Amino acid sequence: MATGPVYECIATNTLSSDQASISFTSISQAYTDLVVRMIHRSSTASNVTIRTQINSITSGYTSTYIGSTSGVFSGRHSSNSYFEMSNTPNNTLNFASTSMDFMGYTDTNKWKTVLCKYGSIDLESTVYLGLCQTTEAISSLTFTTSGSGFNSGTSVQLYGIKAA
Amino acid sequence: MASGRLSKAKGKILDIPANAPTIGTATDSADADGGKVSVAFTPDSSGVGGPIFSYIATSNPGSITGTGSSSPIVVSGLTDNTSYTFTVASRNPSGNSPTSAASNSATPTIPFSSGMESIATYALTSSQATITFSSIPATFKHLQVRMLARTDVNGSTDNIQIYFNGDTSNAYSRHQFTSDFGSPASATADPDQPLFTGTIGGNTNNANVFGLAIIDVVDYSVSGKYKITKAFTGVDYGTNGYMTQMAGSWNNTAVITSVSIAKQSGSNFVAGSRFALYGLKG
Repeated sequence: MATGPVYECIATNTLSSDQASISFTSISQAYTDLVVRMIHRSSTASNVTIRTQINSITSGYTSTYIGSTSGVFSGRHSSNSYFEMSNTPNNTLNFASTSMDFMGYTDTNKWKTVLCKYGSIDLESTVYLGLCQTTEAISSLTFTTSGSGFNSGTSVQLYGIKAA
Repeated sequence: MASGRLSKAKGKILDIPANAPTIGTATDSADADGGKVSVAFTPDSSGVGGPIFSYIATSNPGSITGTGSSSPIVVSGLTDNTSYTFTVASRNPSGNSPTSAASNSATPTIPFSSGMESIATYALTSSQATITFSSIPATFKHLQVRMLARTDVNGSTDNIQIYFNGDTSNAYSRHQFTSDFGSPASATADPDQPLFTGTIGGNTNNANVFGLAIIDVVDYSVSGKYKITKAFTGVDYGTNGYMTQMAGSWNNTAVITSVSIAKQSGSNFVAGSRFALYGLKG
């Protein structure tokens, strides 16, 4: 059995003002999986989607999803230039919550797979399974939106999980 | 002179310490194993009476003691979630001083969560039919399996199943919903044999495509409850994808000591697949 902590906080970022993007760079390669936990809201009065980019990769992102507003919906995102896996409420609504699990993020013989769970009491609840067709180890994650960015108070934590 | 209150030390008769220490604050040590309280005090500095060799803290109830040469003293062996007060006395070979006033009440506890620990990992360097974590210690509250895998099934996807303590009977049941190649679906199975958790990749995809699963098994180390499992499982292979959320039960009250993961159609999990078992304290 591994000794010591196996679920560690790598970095955290809580915005004190509106910001166009949030990035974690030079991510340690000492873990097996990465976990992102985020509460977020748009910097404007428009609901927007969160875009997640691995390293500098701008193609080969797909995802399968299922969710609920007042009814069930599901579908796929194909051939995106980023993961588009969660909405973010406008700045008059409540903050939303998103978690992402990137499994085997240092493996250079696998495309990168992520599980994303998203919930907003104002908008929807959705689960995504995403694929990025790269064998690069993940060394950076960048979060932007389809609008102008994130509202002050948005907070993102990056965790690493070790295996025995 | 009361002979019982004196002793010879190196040929010299000692008086007992004359005055009690001044009691301080008793606090839960928040030790990962629980059962400990730290008792602070201020030593008597009057110099009246014999020399002080050490201090003793005594609990009420239980008269459980801890000793030390300075403040604070940690008293061990207490019962978690029980309220205690403590007194402290100074000591030398002749005996103890009068005791201090009682401390505030303090309650030892095990911290709500002492974290997550890695129990075992299988990183396959060759194909393997079934993954079994055995001799799982009962020292955690919950288990989590995190896996990234594909099988050698001749198709784009394969299903995985989980079973406990070697039980492959139909003693399982489940509810699930899926995004089935982008279309919603749901299913129930009662009985289930064994517990279907979802869909991962098969061998007609690009060789770099592996499916994932995160499987939580709650309260696995207590008897008297059916064992509840929640799983997120899925694979996206670029041209399509499949995702499942499953809630299931092993309808058995036994403590779980082994967890097995099997593929449904293929012969083996392929090399490069990885299965990690974690324990979560509670």
